[in-house]
Amino acid sequence: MSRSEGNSYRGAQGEKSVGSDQHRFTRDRSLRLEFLSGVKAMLPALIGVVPLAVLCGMAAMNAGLSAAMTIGTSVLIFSGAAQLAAVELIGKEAPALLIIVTVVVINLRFLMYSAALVPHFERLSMWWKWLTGYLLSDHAYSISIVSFDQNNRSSEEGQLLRQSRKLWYFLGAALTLWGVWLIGTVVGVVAGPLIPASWSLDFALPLTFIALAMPTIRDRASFGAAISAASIAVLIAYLPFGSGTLIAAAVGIGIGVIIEKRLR
Amino acid sequence: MTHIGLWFTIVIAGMAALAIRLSFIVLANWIALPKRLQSGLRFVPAAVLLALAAPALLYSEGAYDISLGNERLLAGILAVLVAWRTGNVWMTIGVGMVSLWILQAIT
Repeated sequence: MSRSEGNSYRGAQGEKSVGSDQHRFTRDRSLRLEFLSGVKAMLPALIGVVPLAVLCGMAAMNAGLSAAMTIGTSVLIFSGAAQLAAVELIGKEAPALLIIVTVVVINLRFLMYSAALVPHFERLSMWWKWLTGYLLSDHAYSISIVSFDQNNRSSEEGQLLRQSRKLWYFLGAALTLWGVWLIGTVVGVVAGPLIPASWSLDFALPLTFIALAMPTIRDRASFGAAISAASIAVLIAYLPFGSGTLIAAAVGIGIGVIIEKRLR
Repeated sequence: MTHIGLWFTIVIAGMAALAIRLSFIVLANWIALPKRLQSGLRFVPAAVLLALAAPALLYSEGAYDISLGNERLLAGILAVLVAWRTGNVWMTIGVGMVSLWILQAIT
């Protein structure tokens, strides 16, 4: 993806005058390119994201939330599955505590994302860590982690410099999603009822997940993790509030770890 | 729930969601991630994403549908094959959506 930028980067690193204008120019340009490749990597996923955002806007309005509250859920919770579950519970007049716990449980997977990003972002300042944490999403995570794993070879670059390149790649992907998510929510609030259900655009969401998951299945262990998580998720799909997803994923990951240990 | 109560719920839920996202990124200097958990992390994308996707193909509105009449299952299987062979996100979504529309038009 950014191999050529990586080369120009190492060149700049090698020069003695680290603070020179030439170096600064190379770095800024390199970071802007990282940002843009992050944006580009996110674009295909938006096909699945837009209908979900619109759906979140429509569902929240139907449940009786005000327009400001609906947009508020997208800004504050910023997670499709959790927002849809929360809205459904609000519609059923569920108690506040149940709604909050449901959002937490559905979002527990972000613990794993957060932990996975630590080695890539640990040298950044606290402000950037908070921003990346807030912008974390299924798509931003999976797109970034796949790219980070592929580009992890060059060991000559400084750790901090490499991490700021990863940061800007992540920001390109994550901010694109965030902006589109909010726009989609507003569209759902305003014009949602105009999109006919017969288009079945909601189906683009599982398709997006499939397309993002397949490239990460590289060996027997990851195949075992994937196939067991998918099967178990189907078997316990009747569990309330999408809690089955979490259980199925945890078992799948455990099976992946076991297979990997056996093969070693 | 009252208007204020709803806002309160949404804000607290949002703060809880943010805390989960920030957890390790912000606190990594103080809490270490267990080695065992670390080795499992590379399976997270495949496991979570397919656990989200698989029920959408086979389960809807409280019932399983494992039959040739299930358009979403057939279109989904095609999409899996495309994703596996090409690794292309646009192709996967395109083939999946178009085959769903065709199947829905036929039946």
